[in-house]
Amino acid sequence: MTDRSDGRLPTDLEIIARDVGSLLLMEAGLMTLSVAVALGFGEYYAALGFLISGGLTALIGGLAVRRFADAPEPKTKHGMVIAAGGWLGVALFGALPLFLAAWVTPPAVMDTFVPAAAAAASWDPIAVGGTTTVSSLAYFRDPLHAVFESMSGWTGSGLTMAVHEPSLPRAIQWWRSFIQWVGGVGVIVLTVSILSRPGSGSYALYQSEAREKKIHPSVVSTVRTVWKLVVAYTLLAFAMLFAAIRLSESAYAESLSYGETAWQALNHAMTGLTTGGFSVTDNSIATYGSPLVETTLLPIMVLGAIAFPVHYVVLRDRRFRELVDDLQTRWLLLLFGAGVAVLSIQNVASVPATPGAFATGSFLPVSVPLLDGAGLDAVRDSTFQWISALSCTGFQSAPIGRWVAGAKVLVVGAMVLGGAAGSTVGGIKIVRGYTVARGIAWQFSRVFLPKNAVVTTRIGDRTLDRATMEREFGEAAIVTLLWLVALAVGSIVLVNVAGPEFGYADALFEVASAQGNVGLSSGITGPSMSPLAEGMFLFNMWIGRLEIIPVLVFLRAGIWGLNP
Amino acid sequence: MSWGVNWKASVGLLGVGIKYLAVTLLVPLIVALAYGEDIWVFLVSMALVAALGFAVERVDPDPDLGPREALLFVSLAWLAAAVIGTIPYLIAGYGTASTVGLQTGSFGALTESIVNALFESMSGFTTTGATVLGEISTDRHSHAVLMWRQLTQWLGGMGIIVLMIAILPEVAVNGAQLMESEAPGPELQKLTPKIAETARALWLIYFGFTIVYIAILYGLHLLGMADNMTLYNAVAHGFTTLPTGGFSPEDNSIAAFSAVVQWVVIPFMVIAGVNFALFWHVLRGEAEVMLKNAEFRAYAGALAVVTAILAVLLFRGAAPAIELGGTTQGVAGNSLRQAAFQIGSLLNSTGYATADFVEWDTDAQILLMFAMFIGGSAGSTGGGVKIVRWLIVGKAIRRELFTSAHPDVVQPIRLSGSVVDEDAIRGIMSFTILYIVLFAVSAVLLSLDAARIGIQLTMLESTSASLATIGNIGPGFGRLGPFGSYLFFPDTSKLLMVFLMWIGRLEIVPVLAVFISAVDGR
Repeated sequence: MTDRSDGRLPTDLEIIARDVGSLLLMEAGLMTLSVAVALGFGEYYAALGFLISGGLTALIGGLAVRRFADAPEPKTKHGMVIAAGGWLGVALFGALPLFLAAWVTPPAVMDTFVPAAAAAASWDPIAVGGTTTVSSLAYFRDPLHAVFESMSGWTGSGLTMAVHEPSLPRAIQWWRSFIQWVGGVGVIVLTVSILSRPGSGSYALYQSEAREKKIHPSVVSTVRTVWKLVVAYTLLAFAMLFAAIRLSESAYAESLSYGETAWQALNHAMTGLTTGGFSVTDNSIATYGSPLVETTLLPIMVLGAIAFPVHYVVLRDRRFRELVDDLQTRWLLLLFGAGVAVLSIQNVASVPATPGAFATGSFLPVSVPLLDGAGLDAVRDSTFQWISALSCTGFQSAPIGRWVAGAKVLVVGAMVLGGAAGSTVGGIKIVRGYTVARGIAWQFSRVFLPKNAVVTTRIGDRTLDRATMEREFGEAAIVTLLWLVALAVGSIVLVNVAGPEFGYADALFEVASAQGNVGLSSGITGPSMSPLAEGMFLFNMWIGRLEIIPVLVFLRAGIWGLNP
Repeated sequence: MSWGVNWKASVGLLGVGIKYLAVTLLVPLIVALAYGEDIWVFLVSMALVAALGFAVERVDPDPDLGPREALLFVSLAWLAAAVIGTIPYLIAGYGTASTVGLQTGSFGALTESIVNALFESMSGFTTTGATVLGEISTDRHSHAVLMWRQLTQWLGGMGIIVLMIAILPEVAVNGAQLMESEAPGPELQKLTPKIAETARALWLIYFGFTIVYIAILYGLHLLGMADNMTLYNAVAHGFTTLPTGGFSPEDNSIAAFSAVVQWVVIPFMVIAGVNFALFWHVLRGEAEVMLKNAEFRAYAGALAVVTAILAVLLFRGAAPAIELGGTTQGVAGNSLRQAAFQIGSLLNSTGYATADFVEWDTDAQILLMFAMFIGGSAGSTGGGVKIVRWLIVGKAIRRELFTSAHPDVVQPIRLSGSVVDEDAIRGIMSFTILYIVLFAVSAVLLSLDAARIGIQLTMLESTSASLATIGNIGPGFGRLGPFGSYLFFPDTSKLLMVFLMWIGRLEIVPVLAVFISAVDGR
């Protein structure tokens, strides 16, 4: 801390506080907007919660921005710390509406949110202020649960503490979907303009797109490019889902009114496209029990897993070949196909060993050779869950906890790898996996060559010389290693604190899901989980979203400062 | 068919090695003589091996090795040693209930017995220490066969290639390249200008430690402090401690011996995990080279810290009360001994045990599994990832954090004061990731394969089986504990583990490079 100026905070800290503060101001704006949603649905207590939260957030954010208004522009070295600190700050303040709404809403009012469905009778009652309610809103009276939900939302994970989503106020349902949607845009901005530094694969892939040396203009121009795309896709997804739910023949879908259908379509369009995975239905997508809805969601999740610079090129230049030409998209589509096939085979083979995991009745009007009803259901569930896992969405259509360990581990593989860098997915990302694999192959091909031989390697349509290769491989290898180490440590901790009914495969699955920002669950996550595991998941989601290194830089800066 | 490699040269040179391997069978032969056991077993084995050696040598009587041929040779040498090592098991066990003896009852029994023998032999030469023997006692197997089992570990410990370079001039010609491929750890330290002298120096140090160790063990017996540490047992354990092997002719491993013996075994296991080149410096009066060596310091530190944590856990009651070798809860001496022994054994991949640690609490077991991941030092006889690799990975991560905030700064990585080559760093990264991926994929395959024949492995069992074989460690957890056995796995899983032990010992690169160059066909 050398550059102190007349007894004030160090300049680095001022820059960071100012920029995180301005992120909080934006969040306060989102909260204010949500007040309108709450009022629109006549949920006055929730509206009050949002109002207080917005005020508090604006106050803190505004103070930071005003106090440090004259701090210099951020430089490269600040970018990561701002990103890591920003995500943490926004997630912490984002918990306020959940927490406050849970405390200001009287238990009697909470009960009115509970749908009249027969299933609600079997829900666990939650003790609040001397009485009980079955509304899941009461869970957010615990600040840890509220922060968890907010972090899960802002990181696009989708693990939830709200056991029964339909019993939440509309405004809270909206807030959960909204933060995933905005968080999704944030991630694209993050990967395209802050994380993509020289030496990382995504930098090299999308260099031409909206990149400038200075951080602020780069962020602004990225947002400008991205938001139109996201809004357009969301509207499209909304229309598709609305039609799919209306056309579905399942009892649940047919019981929905037009308004309810529109509400669910909107929320699921927002969380599906940004590969977030929060839902407003009780059992995620399994609630619909509709092959049509599941099929409609597949392309939406796939869209979310393709890098946004690629979307941009495809739409602007009408160049659909880009989907095949772009290295990551090509591999993504390949992996979608191959994984669906492998997981289906595994699950079909394990049908006899897993009673209760798959429905026995066929969902198709025609019979298919080789597959009975359960086999067909296994293929259907495998398809949906693989795409949900690899795209890091986390919509669930099947009881994955009941699958065999082999199938769980396959899904873990998908969640660890994730989709394309530059989209809203989590995981290690395809470009890194590819760089690591190429680097290792390169290592072997050099075994027989003299030490000073000139070797180049190709990644996509770029030819890399040795120094570039070394840098990109180093970055990818280190992120991969750290990712795997965090996964191993997390799963070992979890298997010790989770209940005895969960095996190691379940623990591995759950940590991969949190750290990969996926949101699928083998059943461990819930309000009754150990607080230690819940706190650990907060950390897993945070580092997963920021691809680990920025968080470590943040922590390092917290201890030693930013200057060498 | 050329595959871009002159395989005849590699195979021809292999014949020379096989020929000399026949000589090592003299050791069990002598044991058989001493105990009045069947000596024809070893006479026939020697004749078979020698004949095979002469025959294979004929493929190319005057081998000329390039770099590819050298890699192929090293890979094949370990495979050939394992195959040849099965001969005494198969012959001696023929017609008995031995699980590694040749069974001709049915085709299934035949393949199973051969796979078992191959597993035991590969586990021996690669100093893994995983066993499929089932019941280990001199009632079931002859003293001589059990001694052969011990000897394979001693031969494999310092490296069969290093041994060949040391004594066979034909092999010494390409010595540097060969040793580089076999040596554990990322880099080979040449001690002397002539590679054959380096090889000889290493083997002499190894030999010297073994002799001293056997003398101490037998000395304890003579002093009356270790009843069952007979000359046979002293030699048998002498053969498997310094190579971080872990085989023991006692069913209860080192738990069969008194606490004094256990305390003697600990420092020698620790020695086995140190880079032997450092001892060479110490013998030349340069002890400071050892003390200033970053890897040695990290090794000593890791041992001390993990042992201390485990001792505290044991003292607080992490082990069941009726523990073999004395209760540990509340007994400081026993806790420290059990902790030091298990960590000294698992951290550097020996695999001896003085307690059935599968009965311990989960947190103690997880600590052991963590120790198994560390591995010994480069240039030691230990397996695993190796400490120096973790050191460099750690430094590379720290550098990445720094350079991502300051992209314009160039910062080399230093180890023990000297700059580490960027090529080497990338190699270490590749290795570590490949190791983890192979470990994870194999764990999944093992559990799927076991499920195929109706055995449900726990996750701890499948991961520890994979880790214990690729890291050449030996015992795992659950049914694979130190007093358990790998016998119940299906043949296909055993073959997979044979493969893992093989590439684990050669540290992946030679085996994969040979495969890749065969596929490339350049």
